[in-house]
Formats: sequence, C-alpha cells, structure tokens
Amino acid sequence: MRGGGSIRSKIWRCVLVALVGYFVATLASFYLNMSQYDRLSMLVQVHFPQATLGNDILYTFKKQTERYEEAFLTGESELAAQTNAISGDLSTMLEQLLEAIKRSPHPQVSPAYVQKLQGDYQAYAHLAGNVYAHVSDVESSLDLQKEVGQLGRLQRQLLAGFTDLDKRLNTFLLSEIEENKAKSLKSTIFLGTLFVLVLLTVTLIIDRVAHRLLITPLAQLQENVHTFSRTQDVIPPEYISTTDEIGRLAKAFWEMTQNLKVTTVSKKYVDNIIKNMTGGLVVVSPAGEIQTVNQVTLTMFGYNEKELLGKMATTLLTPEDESLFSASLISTLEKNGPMKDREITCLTKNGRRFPAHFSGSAMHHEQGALEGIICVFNDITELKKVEHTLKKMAHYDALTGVANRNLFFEKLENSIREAQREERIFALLYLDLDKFKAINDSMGHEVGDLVLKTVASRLQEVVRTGDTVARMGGDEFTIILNALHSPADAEILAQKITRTISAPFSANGFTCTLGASIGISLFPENGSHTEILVSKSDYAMYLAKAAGRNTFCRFQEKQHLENYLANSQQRTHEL
Amino acid sequence: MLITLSLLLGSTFFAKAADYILVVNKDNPVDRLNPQEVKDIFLGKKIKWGNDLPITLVMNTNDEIHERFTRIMLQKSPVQLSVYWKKILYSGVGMLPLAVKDDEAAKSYVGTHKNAISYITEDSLDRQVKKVEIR
Repeated sequence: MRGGGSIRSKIWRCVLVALVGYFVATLASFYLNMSQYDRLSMLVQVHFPQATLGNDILYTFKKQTERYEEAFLTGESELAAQTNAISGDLSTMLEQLLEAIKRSPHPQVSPAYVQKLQGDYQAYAHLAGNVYAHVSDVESSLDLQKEVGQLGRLQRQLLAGFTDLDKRLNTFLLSEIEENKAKSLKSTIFLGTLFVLVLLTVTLIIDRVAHRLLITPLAQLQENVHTFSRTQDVIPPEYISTTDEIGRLAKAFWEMTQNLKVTTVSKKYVDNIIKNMTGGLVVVSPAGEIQTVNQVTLTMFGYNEKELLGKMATTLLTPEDESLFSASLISTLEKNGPMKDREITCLTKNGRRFPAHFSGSAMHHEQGALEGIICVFNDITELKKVEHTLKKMAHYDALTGVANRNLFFEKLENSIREAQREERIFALLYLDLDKFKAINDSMGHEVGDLVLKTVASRLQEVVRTGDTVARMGGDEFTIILNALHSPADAEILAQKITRTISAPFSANGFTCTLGASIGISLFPENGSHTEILVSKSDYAMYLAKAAGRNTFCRFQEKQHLENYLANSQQRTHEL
Repeated sequence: MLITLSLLLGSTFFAKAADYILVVNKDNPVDRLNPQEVKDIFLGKKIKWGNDLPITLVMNTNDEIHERFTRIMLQKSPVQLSVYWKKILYSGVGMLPLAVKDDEAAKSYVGTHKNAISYITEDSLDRQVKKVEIR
C-alpha cells in the first residue's frame, strides 16, 4: 500500500493506530486495576476481619482476666460468676477465627495453632470458672493457692498466645496493606511508563504513516513541480487508484505539464530555433544597443558574442547605411508595421562590405511598452551575383560582350530623352559586315565568332565613353554616338570605323580583311522615335551597301522617299 | 502456725515505741542487708540468697511490728502488701509468703529453717535467730 487510498482512509489509518494504542493502554490499566480490586477485596473480606477478630479476642481475654483479677482481689464471687459468661463469647470468636482462617487461601496463622489456643482457653475457662468462685479463703488453702498460681501461668500463656495471634494477624494485615501499596505504586509506574511508551509509539507510528502516506507523496509532487519549473521534465506518476486524492493531484499535474509541453514553447526551444535559424538575428534595444545575437550573426559579421553585446547596432552597418538605426526607424516600424527585405550594405569586423536584406519589427512587452527591435540580416551577396549575371544575360550579347538589342533600345531611348532635354543631336549608326556569310561558310563558325568578337572590340575602341555599341544579331551592329557637335562628326566617326574594321586581322593561321557598310540616321533630323531612327539608319546602311560596300551613307529624306518602297524587297533578298 | 491475713486487714493500728529488727537462721552467713535489698526480698523481687539458696519469707503478722515494718521498709500499708502478694499469686508468678501470728512463732520458724528470714520486735531477740543489720 504505497501511498494508495483517499486522504480520509489515510487519516483513518492514523486514527486506528492511535485507537489500538489507546486500547492496549486501557486494557493494561483495566487488568491492573482489577487485580488491585481483587487484592483490596481480599484485604477487606479476609484479612481485615481476621485481624479484627484477633484484636477482639485479645481485648476480650484481657477484659476477662481483669475482671477475674478484680473478683479474686475483692473476693466477689458474683463478679467471678458473671465473668465466666465471657468465656462463651470468646469461644465463639475463636471458632469464627478458626473458620475464617480455614477459608483463607493463604492463611498467615495455621488452623492448628488456633485450635491449640482454643483448647488451652477451654481448659483455662473451665478451671477459672471453678477456682475464682471460691477465693475468699486463699490465704489458708495452699491447694487453692497452687490452683490460682497455675491459672495465672495458664492465663499468661494464653495472653502471650492471643497477643501473638493478634500481632501476627495485624502484622499480616499491615504487610498486606504495604504490599498493596507497593503494588499500586508499581502499577502506577508501570501504567505511566506504558502510557508514555504507547504515546511515543503511536506518535512515531502516526508520524511514519503520515510521512509515508501523506508527506512523501506531497513532497514528491512538490519535487516534480520544482523539476518541471527547472527542466520542463516530469516523472510520470505511478499507478494511481481512483480514491487517492494526492495521486490524482499528481496525475492532474502531470497531465497539465504534458498539455503545457504541447501548447507552450519553452525558452530553450525558442533559443534553439534562434540559434539555428539561417538569418542573422539581432535584437536591438530602443536605445540602439545590441541585446541579443544568434550564431549566424556572429559568423556573418566575424565577431564573437562578447564583442557585440551592448555595442551600438550601427557597428554592423557601413557609414552610408548607419541612418537605418536612427530614431525614426522606431516610429516608422510603429507606424507602418514590420520592415521587410530592405537592401543595405553591412560591414564585417575586418572591414569587408556585403549586401544584405534587413527585416525589422518592433517587439513589445505584454504591457505594451517597446522592448526592442528584432532585426534579421540575410546575406544577399550570392543573390546579387546571380542578379548581376542575369542582368548581364538580359542586356549584353553573350558572344561579343557588347549590348544586345534590348539594352540597345533602352540606351536609344535614354539618348533620345537626354538629347531632347539638352537640345542636342546624336547619331545612330547601323553597321553590317560585308561578306561575313562567306567567311562563316568557308572558314567555319569558330572563325566567324572570332571575327564578330574582333569587330565588337574594335568598335568599342573607336567610340567614346558614353557611346553605345550593340549587336543586333548576326553580323549587324549598332552604335549610338552621343554628344555630336555637328552631323559631320558622325560621318568622321563612320569613316574611322570603316577604316578600323577593314584593317586585316588573323585568326587560326588565316589572315583576312573585312569590310563594313554603315548607315547613319540623326536625331532629331531623321526622327524622334527609336523605330524610325533604327529603320532609317538601316535603310541608309542598305544604301551604303548599294554604293559599293565598305562605306557609309547618311540617310537622306528625299532619297528615302524615292527609293524606299522600290528597294526594300531587293534589300531583303540580298541579306 | 499460719494465721489469716484478714486479722491484719481488719485490725486497728496503734503506733508504739517498740522497733523491729531483721532476723535470719544462725547458719545464714548474711550479717547485713541494705534497705533496698530488704525491700526486694520482702516484695518477692529477690528470691535467692547469695549462695543460690531460695529465700523463705516469713511475715510476722504481730500487728504493731508488721505495720511498722511494711510502712517503713516497704513503703506500703499491710493491706496494700496483702493485695500486692495476691496479685503475684493471681498472675501465677509466685505463692503467698508464710505468715506467723507473733515474734515467737517467727523466731521458732526462722530458727528451724535455714533459708528463712523474718522480722521481730527488737526486745524479743534471743539465741534462736541471728540479727541482720539494716544499713
């Protein structure tokens, strides 16, 4: 029965122990009192009457002898005769004593002794009855004197006998009383000791029982509560009977902890999450100091935890971005809610810069006061690289590295806007390599590609910064020449280009010479829209080809009107 | 030889000038007794002579001398002495002492009994008995 049962039954068990102890003590005291009662009864019913009888006998005998003496001394024979009557009483008393002694379980005086006294007394009484009646002539009768003397001796013997009897009976009574007193004292001491022992035992047992049945389970429960508050772990309770309240409490507590485990998240758990999350987490106080960092942050910035805690959060940022942690951040976050994926530049311990996405949100106490800002930094260096590559792929020609059609049109539009704003002119050159198809077919694509790369690099060498070279596809290139002083500048540059391209170059052991036909359109002279400018430069290029290749041609409006429709179909075939 | 004490008890006492003396048998070696020894002997408390022989008391009931002797030596009246001895007899301790009626009887008894002691008038002392000094 390890702690089982209801509290009521446990208390009853304690009470039962106490009752058993009380019962034992009561039984012992009852037994002792009964035996004392028996002894006292014996004293009253047996010993005391005997002692009284002994006393009476002695007293009566003394009285009788005194009266005989008086009768003898005074010669009152009448008194002597009266005194004879006492003999009957005394004989009766002796008889009663004898009976009492015979009945007594532990006689102090043997019946034989009393019987002897009885016999002596009868002899004495008989003699006295005869002698003391005739004492008037004692002086004259020696025989009478002898009889009186003999009676006197007999009387002395009897007196001694009766005195002894009385003494023995009284001594016995006294000794019995003393014995009873001693026994009573012993009983009292024994009972006192027994009560104390029973009390101690019962107290001890109740203490043990209470300890085992009540205190230990409660202490265990308390221990469990402590353990739970420390480690969130609880030893499941053992088998619990349905009547054990403490056990049920322990079970309920266990169930509660299990529920808590499911429904709440421990600090350890959260710490674990924070530690292992991929982003760098930094909690910044409202004053801008770093309060918490996770492992990723430390790795990301190259610090250890001591170096960062308590430092200003701006330590992590480049000077350009330090304003992020200004006072306005808090109000912004409070007003607009969390900030998400803002791109910033971070600064590591050893001075390296890297791009990062910053997300921030205000953290509040349960009471509503601002506790800090939760910041998450995600290193986007790789993302930036990919982005750059993608951007490059979208805007530049993979073979030659110059701008592709898309970028070209963007740039063209930019040029149009800028030129319009600055009220200046610019030129668009449309370039097509002469007989590139033949080279490609005869010498292979590799050489063809090499030719295109060479052309592109030569073009870039010729143009100024701010001008744009783009590959439109195949062997067609476009060049935007910004900031021209006059239309003639475009022609000078076009000539320079044809010259540059026609310079011989070698590839894979072959040396060849190229040519290029260039068409020129001008903004705003030939148009203000990209399509128009492109088509017009394209048309001019066609004219240059028609003019004998490796030359350039400016778009002429008049010329265009005459020839455009007639030649467009032919040009298409040639290409 | 024995005279009843009832004579003594009933008789009228008259004081006379005659004094008493203590007498014993001539063969008795005792010459002198002190008053306490006399008293002890006549009250039955000393019952043997120095040579371990029993003392035989002889009460001389000659009125005059008896009265003087009992009153002076034993500090008792003759009646009181009589009761005293009866009590001794009653309690069985001893017998009544021998009583004689005059000096002659006393002298005669003492003279013929070796262990006897008695008292007589000083004047009647003769050779039958020996006087014992009381000192």
